[in-house]
Amino acid sequence: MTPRRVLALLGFCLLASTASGQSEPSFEWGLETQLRFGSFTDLEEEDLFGDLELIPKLEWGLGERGFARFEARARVEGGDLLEPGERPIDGYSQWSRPVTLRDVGSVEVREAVLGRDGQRFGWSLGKQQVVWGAIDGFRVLDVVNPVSFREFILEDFGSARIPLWSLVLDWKLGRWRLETVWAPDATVHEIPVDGAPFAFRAPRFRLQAPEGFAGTEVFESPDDIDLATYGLRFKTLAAGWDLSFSAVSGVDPEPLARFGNSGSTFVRFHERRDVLGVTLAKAFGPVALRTEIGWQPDRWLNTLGAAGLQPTRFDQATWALAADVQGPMGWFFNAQVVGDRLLDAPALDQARLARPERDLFFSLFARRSFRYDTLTWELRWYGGDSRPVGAASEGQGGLYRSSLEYLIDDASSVRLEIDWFEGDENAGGYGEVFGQFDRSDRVLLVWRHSL
Amino acid sequence: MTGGNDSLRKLSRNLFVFVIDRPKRVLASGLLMLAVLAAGAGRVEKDTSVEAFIPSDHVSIEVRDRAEEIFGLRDPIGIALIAPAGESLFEAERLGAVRELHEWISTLDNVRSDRVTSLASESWVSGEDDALEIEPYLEPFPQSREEARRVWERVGAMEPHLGTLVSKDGRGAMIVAELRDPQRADETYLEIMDGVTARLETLERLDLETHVAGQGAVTGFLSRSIDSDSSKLRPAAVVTILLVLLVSFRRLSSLAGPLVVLGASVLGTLGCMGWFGIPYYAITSALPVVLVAISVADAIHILTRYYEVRASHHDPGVRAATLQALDDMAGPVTVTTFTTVVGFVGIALTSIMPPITSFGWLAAFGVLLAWVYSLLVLPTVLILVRPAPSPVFRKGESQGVDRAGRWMAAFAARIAARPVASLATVAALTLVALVGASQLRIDRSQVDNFDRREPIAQAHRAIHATFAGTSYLDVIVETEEVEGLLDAERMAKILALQNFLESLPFVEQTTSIADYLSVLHRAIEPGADSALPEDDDAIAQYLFLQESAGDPTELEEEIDGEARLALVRAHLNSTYNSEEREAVERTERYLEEEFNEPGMTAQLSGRVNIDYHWMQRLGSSHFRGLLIALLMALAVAAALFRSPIDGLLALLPVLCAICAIYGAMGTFGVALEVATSMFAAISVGIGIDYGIHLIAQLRRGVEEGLDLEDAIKKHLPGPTRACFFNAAGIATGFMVLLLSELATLERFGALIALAALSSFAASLVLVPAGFGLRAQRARRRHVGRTAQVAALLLATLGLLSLPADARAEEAKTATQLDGPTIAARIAARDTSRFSRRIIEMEMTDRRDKVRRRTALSYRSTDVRGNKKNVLFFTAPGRIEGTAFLGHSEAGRDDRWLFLPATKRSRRIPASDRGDYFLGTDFTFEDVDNELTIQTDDHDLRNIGSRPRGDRQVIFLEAKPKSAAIAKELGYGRLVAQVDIETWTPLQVDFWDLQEQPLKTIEATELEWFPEGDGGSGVWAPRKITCVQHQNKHKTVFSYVELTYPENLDDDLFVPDDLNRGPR
Repeated sequence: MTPRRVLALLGFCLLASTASGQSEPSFEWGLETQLRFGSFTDLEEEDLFGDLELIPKLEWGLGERGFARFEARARVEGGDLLEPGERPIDGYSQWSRPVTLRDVGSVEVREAVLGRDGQRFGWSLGKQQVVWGAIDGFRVLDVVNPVSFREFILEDFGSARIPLWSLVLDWKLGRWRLETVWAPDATVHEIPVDGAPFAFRAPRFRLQAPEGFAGTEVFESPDDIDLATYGLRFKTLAAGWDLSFSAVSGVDPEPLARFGNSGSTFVRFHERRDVLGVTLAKAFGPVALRTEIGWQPDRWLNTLGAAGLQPTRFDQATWALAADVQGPMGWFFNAQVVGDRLLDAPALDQARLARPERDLFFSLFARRSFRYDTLTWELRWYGGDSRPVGAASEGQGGLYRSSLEYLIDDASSVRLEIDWFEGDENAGGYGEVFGQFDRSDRVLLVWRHSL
Repeated sequence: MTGGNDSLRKLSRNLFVFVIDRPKRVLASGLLMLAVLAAGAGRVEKDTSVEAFIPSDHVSIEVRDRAEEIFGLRDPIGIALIAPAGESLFEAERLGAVRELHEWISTLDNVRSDRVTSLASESWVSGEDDALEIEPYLEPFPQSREEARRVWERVGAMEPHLGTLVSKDGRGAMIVAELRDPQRADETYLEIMDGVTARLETLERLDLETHVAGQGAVTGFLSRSIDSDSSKLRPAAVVTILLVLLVSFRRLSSLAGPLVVLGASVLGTLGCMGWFGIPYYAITSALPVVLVAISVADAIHILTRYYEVRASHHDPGVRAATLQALDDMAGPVTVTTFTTVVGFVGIALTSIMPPITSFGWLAAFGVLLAWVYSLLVLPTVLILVRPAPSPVFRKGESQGVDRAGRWMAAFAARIAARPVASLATVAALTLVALVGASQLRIDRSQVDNFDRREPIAQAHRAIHATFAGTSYLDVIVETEEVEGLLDAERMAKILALQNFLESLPFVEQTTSIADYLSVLHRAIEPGADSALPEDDDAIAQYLFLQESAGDPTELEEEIDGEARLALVRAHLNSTYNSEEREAVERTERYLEEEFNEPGMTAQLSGRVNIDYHWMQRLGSSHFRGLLIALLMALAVAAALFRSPIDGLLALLPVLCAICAIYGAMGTFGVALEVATSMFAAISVGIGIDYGIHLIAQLRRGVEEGLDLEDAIKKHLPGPTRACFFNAAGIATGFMVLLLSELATLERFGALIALAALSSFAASLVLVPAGFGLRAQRARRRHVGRTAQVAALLLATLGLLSLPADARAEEAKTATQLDGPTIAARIAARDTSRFSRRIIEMEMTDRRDKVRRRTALSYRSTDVRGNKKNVLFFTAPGRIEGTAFLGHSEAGRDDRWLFLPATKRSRRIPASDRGDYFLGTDFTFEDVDNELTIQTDDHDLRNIGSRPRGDRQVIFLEAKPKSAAIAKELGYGRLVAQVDIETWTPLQVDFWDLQEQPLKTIEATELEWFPEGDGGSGVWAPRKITCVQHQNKHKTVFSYVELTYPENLDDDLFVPDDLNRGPR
């Protein structure tokens, strides 16, 4: 996204606002500032970093139900540690690409939407996030938008999600609602470069040419395959149950790899995938249960077998169950379990880069506020287990996260956060999902201010 | 208080804990820092010259310096020898004394021997037999009375020397000595005084009075006075303050801490002067006294609180009492410190006089230093010295305060009960003071600086009475070309200027080159008609003759070597600057209109001119400084209270006190001059403190829900006592200045003392009166509003037509309803199915930290009673976009929360009805049912009725029917005060399961909304307050917009639409 395009978009929004004839357009704005200082406690060399984020937000009310929203994010990093060198933006489409400020930071449009909420029909057009699913942290059905793994899963979900240029239509059909998404924006996940603290180190995620490979590495942009994402979701609220069915077909944001040109090039590329899913949620007194089930037929995944690096199709089933509990004395607990299984996965000795046949992830979360909600302590734990075909159960390592946030006033807060990984990046041949960041333990001090 | 304040308070508490836990280390660090600062004190240099009061780049100083450079003029020391009335100085022996003194003075180290002028050095001019003779007066020295008389005749012929070197009546002679280094004027002055004393026997035998005066002498005397003042004022101030503290707390151990604080303030400030090279001016003498008096103010308040805490029923001990005192007083003393600093900064910013500017900045620094040491070092001394409880503060007596505090509080309560009369009395007194103030004049007298008995003052008077005066107004005449003054017309113009000057009031004598030319002209041409030669060449020749025949340097004070510049000096025997004003202004006009011409201009110079200019500035800078101090103090006070009205109320006593002092000054003829001009701004800084302390305490009481009288009785005794001793300390501290040798400092001290006491007295009257007036108005408003509401209600209900006894009968019937019926009436009261509100939520915790949120709320109830409500938070930015949605249907509650960070609406657990609603003090039950009491859940009972304001309320008691319901609801009992006309619960008090008071919800600002309930109209409160009694939290919901639409869209209440925000 070039600055010129951003300005053009802004102009469009302004024009739209003035063109609205029904009633006086309203306008609101906001600015969020986040300043962080942190230290990676286990890195061998430079371990201090700091970054500053400025997020201006503009919103126009257009007539009775129309709206235009714009949000940008400027991010400057001191220390060049989280994103060594220039930000990796190869995976962004031409229209979504952030403007990089060399190795200092970047500026990007996070939201630029024009839309209308009708009583029976609504629409929104522009760069936006479409968030489906009901589980926190694990993306079972929240698959329309790709994400940035700049900080693995430690970044806020909304902040890590990469907005896409898309058209969302929303029909209200009695008790049911139908949402459709068309996103002709083949942006894929942003994956940290090697050397970054959160660069993937586990073999199951690393798509590199084997050692001794003398050819060239090539990245095939998803733009090249000109694929759009299509999605639809039916949703209803019946007898206290939130129920939804969704189907998404689009570019798989996770990369694949293969050898090309008779082995002289190593190509990273993307294929399509289809995701079908169901969500259910309901509260039972102080407990709210949420569940998701996803099904991805014929999904392309990498294997490294006798024939070399080879994308192979598998069926993939995922399920998740979450419980929120409002505990005594103001405690809030959340527990989640996510299971994922590949059907007909090859055995470990047959395909080195394929992920294990079964993954199981757990998360526990506890929160308690003190001092009239001005001081909040949170503790999270992520862990898991994998079971490769024909092999014993392996752990996934663990992530412990504890934070203490103090509300300085209505507009500002300061948070002290500790993120602690444990495990082994190479364990079991696949490496552990959380254990791969064993050297990326960190302490963070975050100041946030909202205008 | 804001969140920022709360975090500051937390930080400060941590700091205090740190300090208290390490008393020895902190004390040692404090003393070490002080030692480093104080080490600079040895580098301080005195500057007692009057020039110091004018910026060195001021035009009057530049001209003066130029005159000094060209004509070699410096402020001299003058020694006058005066014979008794009716006698003559021109006796051989007396002239011998003049010569002997002249010769001795010429030998003094700091005296320019070539610039000592008297009869012993000057010559007279005569022309005999066409020959010009210039001979010294005393050569040969007269040996007889006849010869001495002849000398007098010669002097009489020399006009320039009459009135200047010799009095016109021949009784006195003057020896004028210029100093090499004016900075050493004090030692030269003392040397001369010693020399005179050594010759006293001879002089007394000759019956000669001797006086030493002149600017050099003044400078010297000031310097000597400063030393003398320093040696007695500082200890006197310290002793006085310690006595005040002793009287205040009656504990010797209470003295140690304040002693450290005032030591730090004074020594640190003097050291700062040294390190920054700031001279010690005459006015600086007052600085240590000022600091001693003010610096203990914070300590007094902290110690008062310390002893109060120790006097409580459960004495918590030294550490806890110290910490409590710091916690309670850090805020107030910080504010009052800054208001005091504001006063001094006001002076510093507006004065053009370097001594005053320095005084302002240094005093501000000293006060800040005292504040730092009061908060950080004083506690360590308390911890180490461990002062025992004071006998002044007795347990169990109105916060442990003695009779004085209680008496003052009782006085304040009486004032509060009669606010109008009290304010009227103060206003009348202020008017009287303003009448006196109209007589106030801005003036200064050199002699008024000193006590009338001082030798310098006596010398001034004697010399002014005998000679032409020692105040000089100089005119420097300048021509463009060399020898431009060798022009007969120009010389005649100079003579005309002299005649003009001599026509001015207080001008006794003028001297210039024209005088000498006139003498020469008369000597050479005795029969000439004109006073001056009419030929240009003659002027040049006369001057040549003078140089050839006499001392070539004799005329260098009158004309320069190139004959381009000349000095005309007017001698004034004025006492006050105001007396000189006319001379300066008229001379300026004369030079502009009559004298200046192409090729020749004139400029004013001299002491009188300098004094005129800086006095001109004094008036404007005084009132500007006062205005700035007032505005800054008002800003601080208004910001502290977040109320301009309370800020003004804090300032009002000071304004009255200042008016009173202006009035006293005008009435008693005390002029506004250098020192006294500072009193007003300082008084603002000091005086506003009392108002701030008293207002803060009364606000505290009002916030606690006390009526004004109870608030005064509960909260004022301690602070008024502390304020009184604070004012007394400052007053007595400043009164120490009455011991000064400088009268101007005496007046300054007296004015500040008066200002402190009168500010305290005015605060004690005006603050309670202001609160009393406010309470009266609030009562009137309440009555007025209530009357309006009642009238509207009656009109709406069509009851106006009912006879009064019928209405009374209905009220009587309502009060006799049973509990379930009352609850049913509450539930059945007119409400609207749809509402839209903008709610401002204000949540205050026990530390007064306030969080605010704004939300747009929609509420919908269907015909079956199922409710949906949605809240979209719109502020602050941190939670903007967050939305809460609740559906209540047939005993089932579904809730969703949309968080912008996740961009997803998520199902959240349905909390117990007794759980708190989104971090407020209201429960979900309170919010869902809006003060309706569920008959299914409670046993209900009518427990009586009584008037509440102008309404009649029934007391409805409700107890949960079972322990499980009680647990779910979170309370064991409630009592609702239900208005029988609107059936709105105006107040609901809750008790917990252990029968302890839990919370109180109050509905206020009841308003009639005619569009509600489909046009039938509804009563609704604009504000609902919930006060938690156990954790001291408070939540206020203010409905800033409240409308009742006929319908609302269902899609407002759809979980997936929460991300779309309010519509």
